[in-house]
Amino acid sequence: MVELVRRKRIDILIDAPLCEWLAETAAGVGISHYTLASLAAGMGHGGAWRDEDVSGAVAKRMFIAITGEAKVQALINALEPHLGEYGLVVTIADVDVVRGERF
Amino acid sequence: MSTIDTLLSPVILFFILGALAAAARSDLSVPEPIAKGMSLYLMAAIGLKGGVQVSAAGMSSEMAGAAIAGMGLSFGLPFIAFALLRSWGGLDRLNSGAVAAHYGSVSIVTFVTATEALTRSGAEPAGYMVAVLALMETPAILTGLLLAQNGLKQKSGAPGGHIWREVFLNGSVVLLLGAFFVGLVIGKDKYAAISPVFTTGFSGILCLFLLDMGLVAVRRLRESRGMTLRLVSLGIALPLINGSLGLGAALMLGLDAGTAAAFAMLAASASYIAVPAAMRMALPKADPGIYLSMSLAVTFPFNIIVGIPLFAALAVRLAG
Repeated sequence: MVELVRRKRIDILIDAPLCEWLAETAAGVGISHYTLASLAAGMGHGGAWRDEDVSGAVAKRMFIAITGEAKVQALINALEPHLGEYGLVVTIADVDVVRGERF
Repeated sequence: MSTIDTLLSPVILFFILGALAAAARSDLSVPEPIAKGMSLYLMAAIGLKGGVQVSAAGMSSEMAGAAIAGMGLSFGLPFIAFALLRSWGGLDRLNSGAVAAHYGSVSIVTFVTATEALTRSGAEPAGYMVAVLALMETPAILTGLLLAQNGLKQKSGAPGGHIWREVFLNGSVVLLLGAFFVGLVIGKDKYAAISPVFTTGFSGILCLFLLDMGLVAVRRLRESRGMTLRLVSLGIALPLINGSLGLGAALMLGLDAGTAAAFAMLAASASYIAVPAAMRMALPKADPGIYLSMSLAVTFPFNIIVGIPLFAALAVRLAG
């Protein structure tokens, strides 16, 4: 039987130009492993966006990381001053992972 | 070349086709990686061509004059846009500054399309205009940020360094300038070996790219929520004002008709690649629905359909 370990998964919807900044902010609180997913299109408080828009300025990415609760909390604290102005959508969920020592 | 000739050129017709398809809500779309690939091809081709031309013609005082005038316009044009956006457009300081930055900076695709149209009509612009274009990208961003009263101040932990990386190392500018220097180094003889790729296919690829731009422009306009009729009218008036100032500066510099028309189009164009990304980071509360819609969905189509033939005709009449 494979052992499952409880961790936190944090998903952050963010503007594509801000991805590098977010990755550095996450690394600053010890979250150095993450996944960035491209997203096709959507509609939010700021209006519609789509990935094929030539400017790329309103394209979105999903930043996904799985880690311990303390690091997730530290990342939220670091992002808190910017949540509103950058329109970040942050969700956190409990997940069971295999090979828990890696997260 | 008459206005009708320009409007009936394949490049413009493909742009109109894309716009009509998007307006009719067709599912026609150009896959994003292909659009990006075509964009890279066009930047490399126009940069190479400019570099090869300068390597043949050599550096000139005219080139230095155009570079200085271009940077001056990029710094100065946002002030005019800002004043009009505040007074006539009814925008707040923040959004006015963000939009103004777009109108001081330049659109590479407008320049590429203008160059193609001018070359086809026998009034090819000087190769150094590629370098002038690159120099005009950035100063307007500084003016726009200062006008928005955000200046260079950033909250602690905000992506300050990333903004300047985006501004100075924006992929389009790096490729354009890089290809320009490659062209400068290799010269006409070595370019001949690669010209089948970069010259023969250029107009065809530009047609497909403008098909995509037509689709994107109309979809952006349909999805914009903050646009008003006054802002649309400014999206048309600003390229006319800025282009006239650019043409005036080009005439004072004594540039030939093709180069003067290209210079006017640089002044008339509005950025929708480098500046929106920088504004998204520096002025996150400014509404991209306004600045992107104005530059991409109003000014860009206006320049492609009206601005290029208009300023080409004016330049031929005044500088020819």
